[in-house]
Amino acid sequence: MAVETPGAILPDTVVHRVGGGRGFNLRLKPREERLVPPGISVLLGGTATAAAEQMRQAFPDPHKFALLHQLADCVGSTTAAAITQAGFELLSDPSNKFSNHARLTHADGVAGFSDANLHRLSLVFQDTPTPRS
Amino acid sequence: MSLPLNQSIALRDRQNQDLGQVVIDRIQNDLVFGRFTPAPAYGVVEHLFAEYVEAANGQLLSIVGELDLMIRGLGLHLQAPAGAVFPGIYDVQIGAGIITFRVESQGDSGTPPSRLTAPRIASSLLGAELRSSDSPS
Repeated sequence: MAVETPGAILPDTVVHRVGGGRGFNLRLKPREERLVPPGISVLLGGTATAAAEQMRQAFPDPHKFALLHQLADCVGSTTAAAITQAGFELLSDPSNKFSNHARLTHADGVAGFSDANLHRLSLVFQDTPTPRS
Repeated sequence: MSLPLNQSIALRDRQNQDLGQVVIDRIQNDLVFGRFTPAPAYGVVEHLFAEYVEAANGQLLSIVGELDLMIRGLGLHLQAPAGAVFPGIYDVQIGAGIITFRVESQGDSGTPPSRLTAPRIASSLLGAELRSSDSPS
């Protein structure tokens, strides 16, 4: 799926990673390694609670999507500027279901998602508990 | 005509193939929850729904977006009794015997504005998918 060019996202844009900003939740999964460019999904704008709820609403069955609903109990938040400072990039990648979807990538591709780089990235995220209300 | 609870309704695709039976358990605004019993023809498209669930659980939203278009391209609809018309449905998600979908509101032309280009893209993607699955293994 094509993504827009870098720079379309303003530096002060709030960025959320459902499941939190710890390293293991920022690591590329095999299918994400095959994306062009490789990257993980983040949601732009709003609050951490809204991002969690957006995910629950998009995938409403708590049984089929038990893993995702579990992830949605915590959201890591930062800004686009902080992600850039950590050495990563954001590409706008909207879809029908997630108009605020973006892909967090690295200029070095899969190799950029090294343990050291992910550690640096994880430091810019702040986790917020977002249990279902 | 509103959707009936606890009655078996056929889920059909664009070619009017019977993909299975839906029994609606509850309706929350435009969101419908039900049970799904697959028919033989569902086997052809089952992988799309399985991959969708796997991708969503892995928060692979780029892949979810692609699968969304493919599933929308199937032209899924509920078969109404003779003389009746059921509302259109979209965002169909199937797995573990459960189906959820959303109902188009009255007055919709059938395609929300943000989805105007989806069917054409999906047809193209679906064609590629089916061609791929037609290949001898």
